[in-house]
This record gives sequence, structure tokens and C-alpha cells, in this order.
Amino acid sequence: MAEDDPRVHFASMKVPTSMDHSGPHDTGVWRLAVNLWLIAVIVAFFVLRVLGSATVQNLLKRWAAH
Amino acid sequence: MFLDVVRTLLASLLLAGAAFGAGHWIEKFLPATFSRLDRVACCWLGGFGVIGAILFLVGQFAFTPVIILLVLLTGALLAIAAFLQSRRLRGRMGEQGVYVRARELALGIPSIPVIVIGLVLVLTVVAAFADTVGDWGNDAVAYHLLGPRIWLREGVIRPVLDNSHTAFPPMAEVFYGALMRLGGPHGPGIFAVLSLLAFLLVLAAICIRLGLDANAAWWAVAFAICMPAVYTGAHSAFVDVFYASFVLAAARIGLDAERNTEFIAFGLLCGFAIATKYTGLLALAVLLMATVFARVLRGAESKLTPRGIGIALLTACVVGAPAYIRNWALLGCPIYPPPPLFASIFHAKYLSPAAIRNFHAYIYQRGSGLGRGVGAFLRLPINLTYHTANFHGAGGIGLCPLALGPLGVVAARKNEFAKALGLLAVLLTILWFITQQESRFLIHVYGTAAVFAALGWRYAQSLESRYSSALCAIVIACSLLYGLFMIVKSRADDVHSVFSASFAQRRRTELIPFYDSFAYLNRDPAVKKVLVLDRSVPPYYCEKEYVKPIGQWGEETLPGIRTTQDALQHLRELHVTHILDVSSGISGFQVQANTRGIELVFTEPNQRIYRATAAP
Repeated sequence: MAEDDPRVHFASMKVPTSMDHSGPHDTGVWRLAVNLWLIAVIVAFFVLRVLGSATVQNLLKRWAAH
Repeated sequence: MFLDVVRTLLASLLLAGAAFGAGHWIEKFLPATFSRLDRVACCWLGGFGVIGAILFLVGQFAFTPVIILLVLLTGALLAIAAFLQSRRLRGRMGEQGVYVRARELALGIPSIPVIVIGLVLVLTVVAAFADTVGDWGNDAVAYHLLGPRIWLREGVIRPVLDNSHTAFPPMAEVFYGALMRLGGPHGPGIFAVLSLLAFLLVLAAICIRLGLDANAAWWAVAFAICMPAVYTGAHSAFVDVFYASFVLAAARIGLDAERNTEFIAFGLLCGFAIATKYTGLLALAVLLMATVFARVLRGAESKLTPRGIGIALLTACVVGAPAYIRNWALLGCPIYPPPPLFASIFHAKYLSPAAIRNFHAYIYQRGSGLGRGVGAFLRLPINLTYHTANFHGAGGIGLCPLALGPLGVVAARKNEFAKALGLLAVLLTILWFITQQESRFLIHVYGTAAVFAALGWRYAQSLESRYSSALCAIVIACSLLYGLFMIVKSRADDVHSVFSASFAQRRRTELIPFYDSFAYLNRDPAVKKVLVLDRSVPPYYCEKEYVKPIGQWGEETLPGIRTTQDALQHLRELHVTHILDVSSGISGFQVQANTRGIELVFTEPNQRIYRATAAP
């Protein structure tokens, strides 16, 4: 029976979801903190994973020797 | 080649379809609030679990092509029946119901994540047709594929005594065996695509449950598939993504479970996780704790909690138990090789105390990461992002979890499901941290981190700061591009070997240890049974019956034979026709020049083959 199928019940029910998009302090300082955090992660990535990678290190050494 | 490709793809399609059919009944056990996406993800994954469990149980008596085909065809027929029933149901429901929601989900598909996900999946399909190569350090060669190959040869599923790791819970390996038989030698490779799809489906379902829109769910899935550490756990016969899918699907059900049937479904998925990987036992405890926490958070009736948890626990134990009972009966210990606590309680057969100690030392050394103190734990997010090599991370997890994940936690701080999911991730990380810090063992947490990263991105956008949006775009671009670069780089040789026969041959000769000897043994019809003396020789490449008295981890596979010299004294009893003797990184040649009853028939640098002429 279609009526017994849980999917039929779903049609009349609301999925229990919720997401609060507001930050704890939706202020300029908070936005600045978020931006600084993102910048720190990106800079660390370039320093540690890109410049620190063996490929780039080898390139730099080759360039320095040249 | 073309026919091989078609055969492999058809076999994987059959398995995928069979999983849909075998798992369709689980739908009745899922919470009524589940979306269509939730249902597809949980039922499909559950179907894999059902088929794997059936093949494993039947395989204890017979693991033959007929049995495999029968099980998969039954599943496929059930899938067709379910599809027809679903169409009838849709007709009766008209344009209402879950199908409308499914259509909504398909709308507004963002192009970049779709391209990224498509690229990785296509790469995986192509690379699946590369031959398996590698030495005893390659897990696929050492045990993931060795077990299925021997099961098919012997027509029954049994641990291979010369590698104790073939006694690991064999859910995924059962599929490798089935695909190897039906799809040919590259069949197991294509399973990576199925396990990745299952993982991504579950992640998308969790995203929607957390309140994200379909667009953000696509991005979260792209974040996850571009994590090299996640991708590594899916291909080359690794089972980690498949296992992580079970854990996350169990979480999806358990954290919303109310009725007894829903706890049964939760326990079922937990049981499949246990039947896939030993760490499923630890994950089960954590999943139950997170479920209790979720119920407390949403104010569910506390009297019903113990009953629900009991039902889930019982179901998980029943579903997950067969492999452990098999190990106990055949090998003397349910978890084999035994971990420290079990080693002192059970007497593990075929493993000497020294071999067990060496195994423990190896595991401890391998899983030490960057330390085990509180400081090391707190630095994990940084280390997992930037110092991945220390966790055998193969490129890490990208920038999104570290950069955007914390923002996601802030955004979802009032979401009960998110809190319970976050607790689950933290507990799983603690378990991983104190047991074995191997990056791919944490894939379920990486998946969760990708979901929180998508939440964080949405949150950052809501701040209405131009800089935040631009910085998020840089983070995502770095993460996806770096991940794609690492993934493509890691599989470049596989893809190259698919399109270049000469490169494939060169790769085989360079990467398969003692390739010439295996070629001789596999080619010569006089070779019936081979005695392999060196424990570093991977018998996966031997297409003939073999006996290896001392296994990779020091297993003693033959009663009364402790050394290779003992084995050479018993050639007649062992019924071997040839002996493979090598000079490897761990020992020199072991056959003495004056050994009687054998004749040297093949020699190459560091490798010799003898023919047994008579008993000494």
C-alpha cells in the first residue's frame, strides 16, 4: 500500500533543519577577525606547502646556483 | 582491451544495481523525515552491506562464479522490481512528495564542483585499468587483493595463512573477489568509483540535513573528493572510503533515530562498518554515544534511549559478528592479528609471540604521527593541513577544513544535529589519535570537516564583506587546485600505463619484485606448486598454487616447520614441484649449494628457481 510507504508520510512533513547564519558578534571587528583568519591560513599554505615543497625548493636551489 | 573494459564496467554496473535491489527493503526502516537523497544513500550503501554479508557467509562454503553471479543477479532483479514499484508509486502520488524535493535538489547545480567531481571520477575509472604493481609494502598486493585471488582459486573464503592481514574483516575484499571473477583483473580498481559515489552521496545527504542548499552540498562534496587523503583511501584496493561511508550513513540515521525500526537500520549500518574494518568496533561505541547525546539535545523521551541503543548494539553485533567468529574458530582470536589486550587473552594460531610483538611495534611506529600528547592533539588541525607526510597523508586534506570549518561550527552552533555530528567527529578523532594516526583512517572525519567547511563558507558569505567572499574564493581555489594536482600526480603513472603498453610493461618489470621468476613460474606448465622461501616475496603475482612457510609478518603457516631450512627438509610432504629462492632486502639466498633432491632450472640476478627432483 502506498499509504504505508514512509515516503508518503514525508510529503507532509518538514525536514528538521536549521542553520543560524548570524555570527556571535556580527560586527566589524568580527568580520576583521574572520578575514585575518582566512589570510593566515592562505599565507601559511603558500609558505609551508607551496614554497616549502620539494619541487619549489629544487627550483629555487637551481636558480640560486645559476 | 576494449572487451576487457566493457566486461569490467558491466560487472561493476551489475554490482551497483544489485546493491540497490538488496538494500531497497531498508527504506522501510528509515525515519519518515528522510529525504529522497537520504534514502538513496542509506539504501544503496546498506545494499552493499547486505550483498557483502551474503557473499561472505555463502563464501565460507563456496565462493564460485556461479554463486557470485547468482547473488548479484538476485540483487539486480530486486532492483528492477523496486524501480517498477517506485514508478507506480510516483504515479499514485502525482507531483507531490519526495520526488518534488528530489527535483529541487537537482536544480541550480553549480558547474565548478560538478566539473571537479567529474574529473576525479573519470580519472579513477581510467586509472582502474592499470595493472596492480608493487612490492610487499603495497597493501593491495600484500593482502587486499591476495585474499580474493586465493579465495577464487580455492573456491572458498578463508584467511590466507601467510599473511595475517587477510583475516581482516573482508566486506570490501569480498567485492574485489566478485569483481575480479566477473570483471577481470581490473574489476577491483573500478570499485573505487562505487565507494567514492556512496561516500559522496552520504555527505550530500548530511549537508541537506544540516540545512544547506543543494548548491552548497555540491561544493561540500567537491571539497571532500579533492582531499588527497580521502581519495587515497578509495583506490588501489584501500577500503577506508567504503568504511567511512558506513560510519557516516550510520551517523545520518542514528542521530535522528526515534522508532525501534530506525535503531535497527542504524545498527545495521554500524554492523556493516564492523564487517569492513576492525576500527568499526571503536566507531560503534562512539556512534552510540553521539546518538545518546543527540537524543538528549532534542529532548527525546529518555526512557526509550536505552532500548533504542540496545537494539542498535544488538543489530550491529549480529551483523558484524560473522568475520570475528570465523577468526576465533579458525585462528584462535576474533581480532587477528591480535591487538595488545587480545594477545594476552587469546592464543593466536600461526603467530609466535615474537611475531606479535614485532607487529605491535610496527603499528605503533607507523601510527605515531607527530606525537600523542595534549599539545600534539591540539595542533592536529594545523598538522593535518600542512604536515601531512607525518600521517602518511598523501597530500593532506586541503585548506577548506582549517579555514572554513571553524566558521561552520559557529554557523551551526544552534543546530542539534550539527552539535551531535561535531561531537561524533571529535570523539572519532580522539580514538584515532590514541590508536593509530594513519591519515586515511580518519576519512569519516575529513568528510564531516568538508560539510562544516561548506557551512562556514555560507556563513562567511552571509557576513556581507567583500573581502570575506574573495578570501573564501582563494581558500577554495587553493584547496581544489592543490588537491586536484596531488590526485592527478598520484595517478599519472596509472593512467600512462593504461594508454601505453610499453610503459605498462616497463612498470611491471621495474615494480613487480622478481618479475622474471614469476613470469617463468606462471608460464611453465610443469610448475604445479611453488615453495616460496623469502617472506618478502609477494605471492599475489604467483598464478600457481604455492606454499610459504614463513609469512610476511612472521606467520608460521605449516605445523612443525619454523624455518625455511625445515621446509626444505620436507619437500615431499609439501608436494611442491618448484622452489623460488631470492636474495632480497631482508635475506640472501637460502638454498644451500649442496642441497639434494633439487635442480636449478632458472637463474637471474637475485632470483633462482629450483625444480624438486626427489625427496632429500
